[in-house]
Amino acid sequence: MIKRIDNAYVTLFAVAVVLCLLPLVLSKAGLVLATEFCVVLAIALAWNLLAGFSGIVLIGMPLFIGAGGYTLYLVANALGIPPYPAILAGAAVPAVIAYALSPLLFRLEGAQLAIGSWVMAEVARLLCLITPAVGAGGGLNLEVLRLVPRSLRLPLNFAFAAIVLFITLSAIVILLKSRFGLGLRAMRDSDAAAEAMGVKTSRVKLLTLITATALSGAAGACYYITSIQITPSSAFSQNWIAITIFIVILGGIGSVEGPIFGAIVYYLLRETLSDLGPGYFVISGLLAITVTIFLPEGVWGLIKRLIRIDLLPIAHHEARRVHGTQPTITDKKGKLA
Amino acid sequence: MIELLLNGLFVGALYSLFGLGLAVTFGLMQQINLAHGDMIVLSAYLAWLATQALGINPLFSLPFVALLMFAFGYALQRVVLNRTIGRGPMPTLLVTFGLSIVLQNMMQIGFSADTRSLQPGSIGSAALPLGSFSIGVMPLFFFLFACLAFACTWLVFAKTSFGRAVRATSDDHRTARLMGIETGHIFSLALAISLSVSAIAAIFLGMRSTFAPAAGPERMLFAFEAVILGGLGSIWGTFFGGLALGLAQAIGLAIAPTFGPLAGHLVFLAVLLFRPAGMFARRNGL
Repeated sequence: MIKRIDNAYVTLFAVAVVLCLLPLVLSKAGLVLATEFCVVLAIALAWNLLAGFSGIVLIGMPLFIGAGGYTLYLVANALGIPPYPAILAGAAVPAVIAYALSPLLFRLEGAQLAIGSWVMAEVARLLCLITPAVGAGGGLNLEVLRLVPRSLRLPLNFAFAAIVLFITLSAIVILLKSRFGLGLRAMRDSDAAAEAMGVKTSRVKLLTLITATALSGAAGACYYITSIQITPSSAFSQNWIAITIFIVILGGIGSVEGPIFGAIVYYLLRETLSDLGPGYFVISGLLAITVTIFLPEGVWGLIKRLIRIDLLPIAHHEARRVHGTQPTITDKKGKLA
Repeated sequence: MIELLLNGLFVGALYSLFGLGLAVTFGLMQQINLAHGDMIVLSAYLAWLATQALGINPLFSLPFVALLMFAFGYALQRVVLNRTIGRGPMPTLLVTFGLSIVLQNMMQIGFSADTRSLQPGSIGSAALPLGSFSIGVMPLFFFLFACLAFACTWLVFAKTSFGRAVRATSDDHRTARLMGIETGHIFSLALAISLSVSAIAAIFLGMRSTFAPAAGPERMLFAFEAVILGGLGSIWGTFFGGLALGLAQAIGLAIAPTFGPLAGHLVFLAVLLFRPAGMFARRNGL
């Protein structure tokens, strides 16, 4: 039997090719839009990893996005280096914050977690507002951007946003295809049953949280390079979560492809309807409500029902080999996930 | 010092009222309404319209606003939110998040982004002298009215067969239906009551300070904090949760003017850390 190449790797390769070709075909304005698209999609993918795959509805996600942005500004300005290497710090610091907050976050469930994390983002905003070291209400400027030649800024901004997006997508696919991903989905269905089956739920949750917050911190860092300025009210804004939730609902929560299609639909809507101002938001909100009620699997769920395709299959190899018989949560060595 | 604490209690009573509607939908029905704050702001705009059209004191607009919000709440639950029952907490959360964005932007289209307030009239400046200091008649009235609103809501949900039906439905809607409870109707009535008691909060908010179309989410945070601080499922818990929040903010404000809201949030997070179930959580009953 010829070994079939996994669809997921084909798709990842195709995404990489498209991302490499974009700078060649897009205008300047198009490239700015594509950069933002990469950032927003990476955040939506990370949020979906938490909410859609592990049931952690982290409304306070802007805490980590804003922390990524602020870290980049502080590190790059202090070291006097071009901002791009500081994206790494923009990923590391949110992950450390998430680790520090995890004992509190994981004591909470459902609405307590949603609201508790929202309050944490609000506390971060208020703290930055009164801390002169981070520019208080006026925020910070990215002074080191002058080290980067003007003509290179746009392509570099895009390149790094695209890299962050590609890493996010690959990390999520690899994570979900692993033993660990099996444990994660077992946990989403029933915490207690997963624990009884030998899944170390607290470790799985912690690793998911750290992955998702590091990725959204890096994405936030990329976004605030393009904006040249960061303020507490923009960095920790609930707008971030509104866009994220909209994209994830629209595309289909709990699948990897969902947010990708959701983000495409979101940008198509925004670019065609945003002249309507508030009316555009009314339409998006109504659309989100309608999709949640009548199309819980989102646009991607609909496409999948119509053409039966898996672009990024994340089923475990063993589980797929016995497809059609009993689903299993053991890996190839017979060990429990 | 006493003035400071009293002021904290008065602000806290307003937060309790923000939370009262949520204590019903969230604490008793376990339904997360992320548009709660926007509905309070919508009620404030309705009260503003009524006072403009009829030239009455905002307090007298309460019956109109409460009735309109009752109808709105009933229809919303019946037509939209009941479709998400039995699918876990996430769909309700997502639908109400969408609703929050719809309401905010519709209010911006209808009323512009300017801040508004409700003119309290002569009651706004009246004060009762109490020895070395005086307390405003309006805040005192709000406080007493808040106590009354809590007592009435508690009576309805703790002592009537309707209240039992709501709690039974939230515990297990299938069994409740088997027992002959018309669950769709019961939940719709509960949201209707939740929004009409929130109309009280809206009018007090408008008379005390200002409101704007985007003011909802911050009120909603205070409301949720009051409910979670007090403990889910406990209506009186929400009352004391709101008071605790108001006191924390007043003390924070006294330390530094920028520290007020921050102190409230920090107290909330501290309680979550040490008592995630809240101060007065009870599994059953009220």
